[in-house]
Amino acid sequence: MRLYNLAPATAKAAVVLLSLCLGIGLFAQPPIKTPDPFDIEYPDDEEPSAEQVALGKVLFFDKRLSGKQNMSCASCHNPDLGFGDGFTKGVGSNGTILGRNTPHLYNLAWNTLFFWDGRAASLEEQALGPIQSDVEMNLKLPDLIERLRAVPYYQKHFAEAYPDHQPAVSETTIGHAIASFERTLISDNAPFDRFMAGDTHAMSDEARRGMALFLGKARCINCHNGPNFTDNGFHNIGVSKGDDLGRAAIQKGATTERAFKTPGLRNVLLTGPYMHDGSIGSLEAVVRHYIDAPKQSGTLSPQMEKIELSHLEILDLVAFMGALTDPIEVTPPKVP
Amino acid sequence: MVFNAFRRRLLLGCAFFLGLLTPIAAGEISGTLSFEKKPPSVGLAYMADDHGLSKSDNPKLDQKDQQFIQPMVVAPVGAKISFVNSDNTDHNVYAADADAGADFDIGLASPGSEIEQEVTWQDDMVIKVGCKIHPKMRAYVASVDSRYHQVIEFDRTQKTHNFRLEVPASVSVFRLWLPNYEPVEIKIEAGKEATAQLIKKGKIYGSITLKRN
Ligand code: HEC
Ligand code: HEC
Repeated sequence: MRLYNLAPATAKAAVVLLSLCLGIGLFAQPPIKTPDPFDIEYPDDEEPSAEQVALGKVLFFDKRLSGKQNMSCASCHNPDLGFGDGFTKGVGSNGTILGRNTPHLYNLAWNTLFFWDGRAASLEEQALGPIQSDVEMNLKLPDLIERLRAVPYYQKHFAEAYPDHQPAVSETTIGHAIASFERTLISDNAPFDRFMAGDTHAMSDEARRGMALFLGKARCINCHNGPNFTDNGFHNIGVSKGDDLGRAAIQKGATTERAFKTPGLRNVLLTGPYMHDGSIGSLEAVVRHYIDAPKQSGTLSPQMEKIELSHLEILDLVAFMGALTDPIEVTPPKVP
Repeated sequence: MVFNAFRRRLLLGCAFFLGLLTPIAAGEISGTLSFEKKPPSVGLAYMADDHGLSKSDNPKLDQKDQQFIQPMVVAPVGAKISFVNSDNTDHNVYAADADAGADFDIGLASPGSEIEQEVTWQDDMVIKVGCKIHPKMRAYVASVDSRYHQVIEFDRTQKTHNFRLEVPASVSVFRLWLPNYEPVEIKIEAGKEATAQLIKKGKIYGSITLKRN
């Protein structure tokens, strides 16, 4: 009797599941889910110590890292602005407008290559880039090391965090500390995560419909897949029309021209304006780009499938992206 | 690997019947790898003093779910590797390893495609292959021509791993390759045991113990 009563519901669930499977190509993409800390690849498989992370946080907020001592990492990657700056393109310490948009820093612990064109292979390597760049922080590393060694706080804390390193303040330890702090910027408790954990009320009806579209006919899943909604890959989605060749400037190939890194979409509501050049102002406009771009240009990534969405469906997709919001509160440390 | 072992037995069997070869007492090396931290994803154990692996096997390296299905293929110089795209997304397999002289790019490979690449680079090297579209994809190609080899896939949640390698009496030079580790070479005769350290960037990260019957 009982079984009989349940049968229609089970059958319905099976049909829903089946159509979902078909819609997303039999689960062929890495599934969207809550990220697993076990999958983080630390350099040499060593998790950083609490001291190293705390030191990295202070460095991230310290304006000593720029030549004129007027800019820290947090000036551009502002925790209150989704670890971006809200500008179309970044602005350097002497006012120069940079070539690209400042990306967010959420869940980069799981990422493989860094920058929009993937030119840095680790967060450690990446961190030393903006410090030395003459249009960004414009400070030579030996000068930075000298500056930090002159501060008693840093003398003490570098020595404590890196007892095996002689000297304790070095390019290696500065890069390691900053990267270690960045790997703690983890957002994994959005309404989407609670929904996946079984709390069906965590996402609105709109967001749930948006999720089905995201996985299904809107084809976002082609590239925004895996726990952080990125394949960590490079695609030409038709944003760059000027001379920024993206990945191709780093690696030649049939698939790298005007290809840029797929950004992770966690907290995407907070990280506008969007794209490598900051050229799209709202999430609604982003979705419209995916409807329009495949109709205009023939040289896009083959994963840019032609899609059609109604106005309501566009809003549903935006609602789903909104359900990926779980801001990270970072209290700025006391910089010595 | 299973296929290789089976074929080898078949070959040995045929040779025995034809009387072309005196029967070889097949022995076995059993090994244990212990890691202090998370193990690497894959390793290769092989007998370096055998050179009998056929060039005409055409090993396949398949891609699905934005991953290489096999973490490593063994393909001697002159063999052709078939890159199969069983995924529903495009891939672009390439390698750029200056030390080994390996530099190829098979271009855009659509779902369902199969593209061959000959192993033209240095013998006895393990190179990394990747995908230009999906840099998270990683696999290895070993230009090794030993019939007595085994690709070891590690369960990364476990720190201890066992493997067995069937070996004839004629070979004795065991080698272990692990990504980013220093290669290990151990000469081991029947009835003997041996241990060595697993070293990465000058630091000890584990050990290997071998036993040959
Ligand atoms: C002047 C503004 C500015 C400052 C200061 C700055 N960044 Fe950035 N950051 C950017 C821009 C713009 C990019 C993208 C550049 C590109 O891709 O070519 C970027 C990229 C990054 C990325 C790559 C993110 C990804 O998804 O690939 C990381 C990580 C990062 N910055 C960390 C830092 C750290 C750490 C500091 C301090 C040492 C710092 N940034 C200072 C503007 C800035
Ligand atoms: C072919 C792969 C691909 C597909 C399909 C795709 N995206 Fe993207 N997405 C990208 C890439 C690559 C970028 C960055 C492009 C650039 O800056 O030039 C991006 C950027 C974005 C951004 C901006 C994020 C930021 O931080 O700037 C959003 C939002 C976004 N995509 C949402 C979507 C949605 C929604 C869909 C489905 C309608 C979708 N994407 C489909 C690859 C893809």
